[in-house]
Order: sequence, then C-alpha cells, then structure tokens
Amino acid sequence: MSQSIPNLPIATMKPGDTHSGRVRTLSLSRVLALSGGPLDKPGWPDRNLHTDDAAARAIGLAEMVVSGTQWEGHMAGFLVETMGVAWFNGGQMNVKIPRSVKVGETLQAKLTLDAINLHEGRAVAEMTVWVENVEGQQVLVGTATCPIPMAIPLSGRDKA
Amino acid sequence: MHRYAHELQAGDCYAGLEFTVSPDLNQQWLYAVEDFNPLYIEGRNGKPALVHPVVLMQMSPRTRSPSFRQASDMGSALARDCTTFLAPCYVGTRLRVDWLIKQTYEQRNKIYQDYVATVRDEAGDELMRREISATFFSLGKVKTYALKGKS
Repeated sequence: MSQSIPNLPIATMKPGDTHSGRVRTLSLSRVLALSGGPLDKPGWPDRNLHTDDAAARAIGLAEMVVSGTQWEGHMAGFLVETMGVAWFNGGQMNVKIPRSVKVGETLQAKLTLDAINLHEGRAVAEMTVWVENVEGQQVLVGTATCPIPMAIPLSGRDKA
Repeated sequence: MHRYAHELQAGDCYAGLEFTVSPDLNQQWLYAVEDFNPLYIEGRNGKPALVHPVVLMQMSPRTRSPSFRQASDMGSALARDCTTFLAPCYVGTRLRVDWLIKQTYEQRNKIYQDYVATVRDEAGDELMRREISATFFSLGKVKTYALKGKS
C-alpha cells in the first residue's frame, strides 16, 4: 500500500487550515501531452486551440491557451493527495475557471478546510479550493467536499 | 444529417463514446499534470493502477462525442463544472461516456449549454458524473437560432 491514512494531510488538518500542493509549470510539452491526443496517434499532436496558435487565432484568440482541464487535473490530484482514495468514493468539486492560462505559466493548487460536518451518517470535509498563478491571481475557484477516510479520528474536530 | 452542437436542446444527447484507459494513456496524462503518485502507476492492494482523475475529466467534455459537430467560426469553452467521483476506476477498464443536455440559454451574447457527462464501467456502474456549463462563442454574429421557441 503506497499511502497510509494517518499520513494523509487531512489527518492533521483543522477547520481554517490551508494546505498547498506542489508548484507546477505548464510547459509546452506537458500541454501537448494533455491536449495533443495519444502520443501514438498519427500526426500527433492534434491541432486545436490548446496546442496550436493558428487554430486558436481561427476562433478569435490571440494565441493558444492551456486547457482548463490541465489545472483542474492538478486540483483533482491534489485532492487525492490530501484525502486519499476516499476521493474516488464521493469526492466532489464545484469549480469555475475565471481566467485563462498561457503556456509557461506556473500554478499552485491550494485548499482551505472550512468544516467537517456529518452528512448521511458520514463525516464530510468541506473545503474552499483554488489554483493561483505566481502573481496570486486565481485561475480556478470553487468548493470541494469529500468523505473523511474512516480511520481518521474525529475527536477535537469541528463536528456538526 | 447531424445538427450542429449549438442547435441541440434540452433532452438531446450527444452520441456515447467507448474507450479503454491503457497504461500508456494514463501515464501520458500523469506526465501532463506532473502527478506521479504510485497509486496511478503501481496500484494498491493487488489491484491495477488507478486511473488519474484528469483522464476521466479530459474524456468528459461534449467535444469527445462522435456526434459533436461544431459550426465553422464558432468556438466552445467550459464555463464551470461540478464533478463527482463515485467509484475508483482502474487502468484497463472499458469505459463509456454519455452526454445529456439539461438546458440551453443565452447570456451576454453567448449560448450556454448545460449538460451532464456520465462515465460508466462495463457493468454500467457510474464512476464519475460531471455537470458542465459550457458556452459557444463566435467572432461574428452570435447564433441565437437554437434558442428560438424556447420559453
């Protein structure tokens, strides 16, 4: 087992605590890896607004923009790091993308634990989530909820 | 003849898509999001590697549907989404994505289309549900004829 519950960040977080993910730079190679289609596809990469300036200009953009799924993926992976595999059994994030991101920008996913409440007999973590660039501008904002892994004690936490 | 995507209405569906997440595709997108958690590479408890969430998210926009047909000089973008993960997905699983349009409306010269993307495994169990609000936009006149006749 590669991940033990007591080592998960959520095990030691209290309401009000903020947790940050790793800093990641959206290099061209990583952008093409996500939005260019499977590497073994003939003609790779696919040409679209996320991989090709000409394709972006054709629909009125000044240049290609990174797919929002790329940093939404950062956030989803960060939530798995924080909550463990419990994320795959009821984790939910409700987000929007307030600004676009260009190739080469550096981003960081963050979350604040707002509360832990009981919902249908399960303890559920309620979080504010966001991804920000190096200027502190938010490029993803929203909320997330996730059932707390059963092995984490709730004593001393903010229970409803 | 298929209608353009922006002409579809509430209750319409995009054609479903079936695919299998190979280790190569999972690892390609692990590289893309720079996430090398062993869960996605080695698996755990004797089970195959988990599919990274970004894989299911990347396969869930309506543009993945075989029937998605966009009018020329129009673009589309995701505005917001609510994504729920319902069960783990393992590498090698055959998946099916279905799309159902819930509503369409116009706001600030854009056509919005709210739809639900559902990812299921071979047994028909839901693994991920994504409620997406997406827009169509155009450099020229905004195409509003899809909205005519709506209450």
